Amino acid sequence: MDILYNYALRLTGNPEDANDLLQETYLKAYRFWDKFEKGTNCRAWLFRIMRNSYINRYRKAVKTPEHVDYDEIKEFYNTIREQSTDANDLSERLFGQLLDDQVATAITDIPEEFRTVVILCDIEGFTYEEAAEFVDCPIGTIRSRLHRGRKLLRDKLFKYAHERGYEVKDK
Amino acid sequence: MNECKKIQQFITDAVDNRLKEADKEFFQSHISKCHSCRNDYELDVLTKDFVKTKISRQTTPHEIASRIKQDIDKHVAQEQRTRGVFAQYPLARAAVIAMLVFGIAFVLYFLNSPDIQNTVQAADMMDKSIENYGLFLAGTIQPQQIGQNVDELRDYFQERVEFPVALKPVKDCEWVGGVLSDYDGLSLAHLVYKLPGGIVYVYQTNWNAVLEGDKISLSNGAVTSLNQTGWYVNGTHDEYSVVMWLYNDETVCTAVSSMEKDQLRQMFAEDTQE
Repeated sequence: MDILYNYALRLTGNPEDANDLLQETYLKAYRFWDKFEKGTNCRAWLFRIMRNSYINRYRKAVKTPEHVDYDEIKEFYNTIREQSTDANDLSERLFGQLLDDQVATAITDIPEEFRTVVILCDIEGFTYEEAAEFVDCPIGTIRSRLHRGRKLLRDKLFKYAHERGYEVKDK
Repeated sequence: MNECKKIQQFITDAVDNRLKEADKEFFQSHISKCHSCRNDYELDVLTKDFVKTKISRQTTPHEIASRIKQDIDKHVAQEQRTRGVFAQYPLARAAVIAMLVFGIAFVLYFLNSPDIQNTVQAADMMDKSIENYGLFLAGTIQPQQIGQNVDELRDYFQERVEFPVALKPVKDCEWVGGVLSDYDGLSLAHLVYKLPGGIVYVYQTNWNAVLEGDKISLSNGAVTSLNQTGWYVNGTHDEYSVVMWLYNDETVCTAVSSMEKDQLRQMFAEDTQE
């Protein structure tokens, strides 16, 4: 149940909606249980029910991805990379002292198709093959969504960190 | 420049340690001399690691887990009270399935009888529908997507099939499920409506492909009726009804159910040819 609960949390961004979504998923799954064939991937099946329920529930609130200025981050990184090679140090200069909650919000802010793949691969640690079964799409799609998802997420995190004034003035 | 373009395609695999041995060296040697690609790669690694350390996995709260269990128990109790004869007596269910199997065998026997054997090449849509209905009842075919209503299946079908799938809301429907399959390169859409009295199974595919008849075919009588009225109702079976109709001139639908054929036709009446 934990993987579904965590996915619901990351999808909806708050425990109340996550609980509702989890409950809806289990009730649907229960009603359908006799149609579920033993030997197939139950976890992936439940996951698809949840994702489908979420998409239907929040269909109207679909966010269009805003313009992302990757060059700004790349330029900034290029500057700090010349001064340091230590990964921890670089990470801190990029993302400052962002709180866990802010990172969670940043994840909720990226469009669902990218968010789902980032959650599955980077947080839950599933392989591309497993994620492809969960989402019901080819592995190539997982790879490209993960690539774009990480970029979108990085942009959000970078912005949040800088809004909080953690930018290290090295320039 | 071309090399950078190629490296960009490798970055995600490299971050996730999925690069093939043959590509690893090429990747490493490129990023050791190209700062731009190295930075792209490192930024992805940093982002992935940062998110992983910041997002801790949570355990489902105990009260949520027990509330869900209570809800399900409540549903079980409710269903046991309202269940029909069919589910209460597994023997009755087995008998119906046995009758179906017998029916299919009967149809096959006649199809294979010497005088018409040579005229049958492709699978007949009507037979397939009846067979699939039996497989759904037995649970051998299971839907990939389910929803409380047909709207929840719209995206699933729209993204995957080239013909329009008829998604007619049905009254008192408890849930609806959908699954796609491929028959020798021809897409088939299957819908199953769960109603209080049993299931209604709907089989859909491309009408032109059926007219061509090399994969899925249809009897001349059914084709004529569909062309003239948009409907074909088969009344030769006692234990179930089969109703066919055309949807948007592009899709042919076959519904199978244990309910009366007129009632079944009424259910999908608005999906008729416009």
